[in-house]
Amino acid sequence: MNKSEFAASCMTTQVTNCAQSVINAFVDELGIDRATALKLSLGFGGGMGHTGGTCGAVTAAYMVLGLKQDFDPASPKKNRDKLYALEQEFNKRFKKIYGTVNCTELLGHNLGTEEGAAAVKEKGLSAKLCPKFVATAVEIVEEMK
Amino acid sequence: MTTKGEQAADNLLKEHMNCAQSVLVTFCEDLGLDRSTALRLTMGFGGGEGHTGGTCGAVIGAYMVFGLQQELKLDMQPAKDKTVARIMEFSKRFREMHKSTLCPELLGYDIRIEEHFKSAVKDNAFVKKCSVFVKDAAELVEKMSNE
Repeated sequence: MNKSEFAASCMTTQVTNCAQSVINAFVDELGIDRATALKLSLGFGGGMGHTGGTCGAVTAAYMVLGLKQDFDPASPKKNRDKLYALEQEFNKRFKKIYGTVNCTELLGHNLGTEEGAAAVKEKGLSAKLCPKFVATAVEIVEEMK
Repeated sequence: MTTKGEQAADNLLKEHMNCAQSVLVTFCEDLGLDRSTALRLTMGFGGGEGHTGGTCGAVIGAYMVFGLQQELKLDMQPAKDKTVARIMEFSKRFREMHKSTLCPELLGYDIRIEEHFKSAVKDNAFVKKCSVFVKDAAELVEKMSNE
C-alpha cells in the first residue's frame, strides 16, 4: 500500500480525520512523533473544526511541506519564501482538479451549520468524497519532493 | 512577567517569526512539542496559509494549540469533539473582535496580489496589524484554556 492509499484508507475507515490522515502518512519522515502529529491536526478536519475553512487534507499538506524544510532562526525568511511558493503551487494543482481548497465548496455543504452537517451525514459525503481529497493531497506532496 | 499575548507579539516583532509561528511557539513547549519542530510546522501558515488568501496564521496557530491540549485515547472522538468545540468558540470570539478570521479581510490587503503585498509592506501592516492579531489570538487561547 503506498502513502496515498494508506491515507485514503485511514479516512475511509474514519480512524482519523482528513488532516490527520495526510500527516499520518508522512509522519516517519518529519521528525515528529505520531501522537503529537495526530493531536495538533485534530482540529483541522471538516474545514478547520467546522468553521468553513480550508480542507484539512490541504492544511495538513502545508504542515508536511513545512516540516520537511530547515528553519534557520538567524534568517527566518530564507526558507519561508521557498515554502510559500511550494504551497501556492500545491494550491494551484489541487484547485486544478477540484476547483477549490475550501471544505464547504468541496462538500457542497457547510459543516458549521446544522443543516449542512445533517446533509453531509445523510448523503455519506465524508466517506464518499474526502478519501479522494486526502489521496490527492498526499500525491501532490509526493510530486513536489 | 510577560503575558502570553506579549510573548506572542514579541515573537513576531523581535524574533521575526510569522504569525502562526508566533502563536504556537508561545505555547508549544508546555504541550510536549519542541520549539524547532513547532517553527517548521507553522512556517507555511503565515500571510493566510502561505499567501493563498486563507485563514490568519495566528488563528491557525491557536487551533493547533487546542489539539495539542487534548489527551489522545484509542477512541479519538471525544478529543476531536472537544477540539472542534473550542475552535468554533475561538472563531466566534475572534470574529467578534476583528470581524473575520481570514487574512485578506483582517489585513485589508489581499497579498496574493503583488500590488497589495507591496502596499501592505509600505503601510507597515504586517507589524501594526498582525502584532495585534497575534497578541489577541494568544490571549484568547490562554483565557479559554483556563475556562
